[in-house]
Amino acid sequence: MRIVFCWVLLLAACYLVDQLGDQVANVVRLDYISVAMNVGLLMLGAWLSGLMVARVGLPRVSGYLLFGLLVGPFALNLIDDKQGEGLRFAGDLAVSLIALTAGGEMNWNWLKDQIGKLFTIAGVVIVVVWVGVSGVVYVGSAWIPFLAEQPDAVRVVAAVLIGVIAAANSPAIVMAVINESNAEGPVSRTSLAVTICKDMAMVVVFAATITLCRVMVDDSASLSGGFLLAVAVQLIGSLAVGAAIGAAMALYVRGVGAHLVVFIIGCCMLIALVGEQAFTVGGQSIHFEPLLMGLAAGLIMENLWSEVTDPLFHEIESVSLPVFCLFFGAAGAQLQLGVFGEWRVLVVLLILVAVRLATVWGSCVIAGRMVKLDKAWRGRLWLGFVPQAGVALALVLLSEKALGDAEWVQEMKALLLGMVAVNMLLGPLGLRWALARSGEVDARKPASAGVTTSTA
Amino acid sequence: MTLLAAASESSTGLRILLGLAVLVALALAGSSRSVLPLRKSPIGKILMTGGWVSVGIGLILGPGVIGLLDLEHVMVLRPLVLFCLGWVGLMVGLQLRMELPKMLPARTWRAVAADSVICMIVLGAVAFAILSYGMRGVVEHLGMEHHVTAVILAGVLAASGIGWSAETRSIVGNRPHLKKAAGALRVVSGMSSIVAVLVYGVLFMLIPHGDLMREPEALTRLLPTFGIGLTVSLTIAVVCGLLGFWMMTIAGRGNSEFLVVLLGLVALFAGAAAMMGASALFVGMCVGVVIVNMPGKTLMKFQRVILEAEHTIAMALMLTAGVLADPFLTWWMWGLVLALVAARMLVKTSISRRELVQMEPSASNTAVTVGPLRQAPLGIAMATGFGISVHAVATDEAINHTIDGSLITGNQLVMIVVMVGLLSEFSPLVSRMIHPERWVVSRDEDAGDQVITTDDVPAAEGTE
Repeated sequence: MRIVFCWVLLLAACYLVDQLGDQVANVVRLDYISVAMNVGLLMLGAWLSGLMVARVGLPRVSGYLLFGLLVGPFALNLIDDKQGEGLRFAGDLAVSLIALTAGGEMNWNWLKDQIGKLFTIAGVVIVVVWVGVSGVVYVGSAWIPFLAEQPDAVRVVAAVLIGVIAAANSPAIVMAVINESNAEGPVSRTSLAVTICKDMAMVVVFAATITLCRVMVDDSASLSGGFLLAVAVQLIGSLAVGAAIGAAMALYVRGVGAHLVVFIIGCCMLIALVGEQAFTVGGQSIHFEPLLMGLAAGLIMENLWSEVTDPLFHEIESVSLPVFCLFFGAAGAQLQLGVFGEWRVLVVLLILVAVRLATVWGSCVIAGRMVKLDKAWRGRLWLGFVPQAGVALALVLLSEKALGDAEWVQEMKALLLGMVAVNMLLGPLGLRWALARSGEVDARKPASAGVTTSTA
Repeated sequence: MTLLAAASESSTGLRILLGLAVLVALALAGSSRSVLPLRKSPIGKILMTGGWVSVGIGLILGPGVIGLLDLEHVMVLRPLVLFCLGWVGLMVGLQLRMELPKMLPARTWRAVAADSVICMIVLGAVAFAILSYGMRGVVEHLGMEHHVTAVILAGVLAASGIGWSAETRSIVGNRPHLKKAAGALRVVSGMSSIVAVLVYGVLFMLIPHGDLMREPEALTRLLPTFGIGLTVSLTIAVVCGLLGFWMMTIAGRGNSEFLVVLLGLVALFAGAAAMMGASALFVGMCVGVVIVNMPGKTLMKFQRVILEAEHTIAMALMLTAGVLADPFLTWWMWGLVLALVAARMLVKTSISRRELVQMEPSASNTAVTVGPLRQAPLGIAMATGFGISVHAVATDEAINHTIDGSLITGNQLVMIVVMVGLLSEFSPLVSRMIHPERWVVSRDEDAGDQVITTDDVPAAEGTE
């Protein structure tokens, strides 16, 4: 009851301030004024919501997302679209922190043994989902409202893009569910590792796809020979920069070792900011990937300076919860649900989600047999690849940016955002169920956090 | 220069991080053994104990010197600065337990009251006189009424002078016979900080948004709004305080959960204060007062975490103050600085001799009497809060096209408070020259220099 009471009081207080502020404050309401209060509202409200849903057996992440949805533009509108944009830094912080944590979870010896299997699974999932979803979208394009009247080239482009975005999934949600469940075991380990491998592969796949799609729809665009070089620089550069950051972090912990929370947040922001800087290589505009940089940094620290950086990872664990609450709360507030208002598009959306689920499941069946995964748990692995969040959203926005503002692009974007919203809300439920059925919930020993020993 | 050229073309975020990286690098260098002799020198102690190094770095990085960071960057980080101000306010409020009036002797409260009232009257009068003189040109050039603005700004300057620095180690050292006096100094400093934030918080909500500068009659129109705003702000503070307490009990012993509650709470009330046009310092203090008077043991962990971050928060605020401070003051503003320093010396010397010595006779004719002369770092926090407030921005916009410096900007106000504080920090040095006998350390005390006793409050570089 205390949790519910606090939750109601929090919402009431923020609502009061939002309504009265304009009337009693003798100030100009500037955009950044609301950021601090929104951060507090999301952090506390998401946390309380997570506690409430956990009482009924749901993953806390679902609570965080639902709270964001509640205070967002489609419900209470305590955080409107513009204010939601002001919280973008939360996403940058979260991606970097998650990548650091994920890197810290990976034992190099285990990775060396499993890398072939992981990339095989990742490759199969990407290819099967991509081909499957693209195929269904292309075949059904005559019945999709925004594609029915379009030329064949546009239908192909739309199908291919929808397919590739359907293949992406969210390391953030996977990490968050694993953390809150205190999970340890083959399903959690493999889900996270494959998701990260998929993300690495998606950098190449998406870059190639979007370049080809642009050429198909835009007569002025052309293929550049430096494309492969650009992608290679992006991948290798991200890993190299990340490794350097990891070494610097280890040096700080060894030399100073104080104010670690502030230091971690500063490093995460540094990774995010470095990721925003664009370079031109081989005629292509590239930037280093925060996810890869954070991963490399975490990996380096965990495997080369494990004892030195233990306190750092311990603090990262403490900081993760506030960051997750803020990130997923903000993600929930930015969910675009407009697509649910049009029944024809809604039907297309539901079919798309169903096809995606089916292809994800099918790809894991195929991949599991190829790499001979243990039958005891391989049937549940696919649930780790259902959740979508930041990565998929970023790909949607990149697609829009690359293809321009034609009406079909906007409608495709709305459909994709709807797909991501559904997968964002349903994904954590499925993954949590899979971890529970596999007996991995609460299996993590406190002293072994950050060290993986058994193999998938 | 290459680095600066690159930085000038890079994104806002990178420049901010570059600035922070410079601060961290200098902080690391400053903590190294090779710099220890410099830190132990009289000048070094002054610069270190008041957080003035951070202010200096901010000044150098700010628009007045190198220009790596400017007001735009500070505004981007305004939510973070609000957060820091809220944190400081919380720390101030956590001192005010309800049983304090019974615990502390009447002489303590008398000292607090005397200091507060005399500061407001004397420093306020000095500031008002000079501000009115300096701003008189506004009436001629822009048709603005300046007296009301001068009253409020003088009030802010006077409020920043209430109390004094609670850091005592640099003036008391390890002399056992001065520990009680040092304790009295800290207690009065703590209680005075509450009064200072209270006065500042009320004035903050009165600071004009241009209306009062044009028509003094607007004051009667704005007063009801001010009253409602103050009431709502206090209500929000009480609600946040209760929420904070209940959520801490829900969080239990979990470190992560505790961090969520703490960070979320401070962000919430600091942001809510800004939305209501109130001071995050003031609202934070009220929240702290509510929390500290709730029953239970969760408070101990809360206080510990709050105090552990004090140094970092102080550094951040000092750096911000340095960036905000406009080093280009007009002649009458420098006159204001010197006048305030002189007035401060007179007032605090009087308070020290009468009230402090009456409270603790052992303080008489010792180095402890210098303590009240040093400005509380809270004054810098107040000036920073004013400097980044919407009012200050609006005021700057209103007078963009003046002129002969006949109106003071928020950035200049910050600089004035910084300079008053910095000059006040030299009082121990001056006292050593005038009364060297008060600073002599006996052989026995010297031998105990390396011993840290439980009575010694670890003096943070910044605030206490």
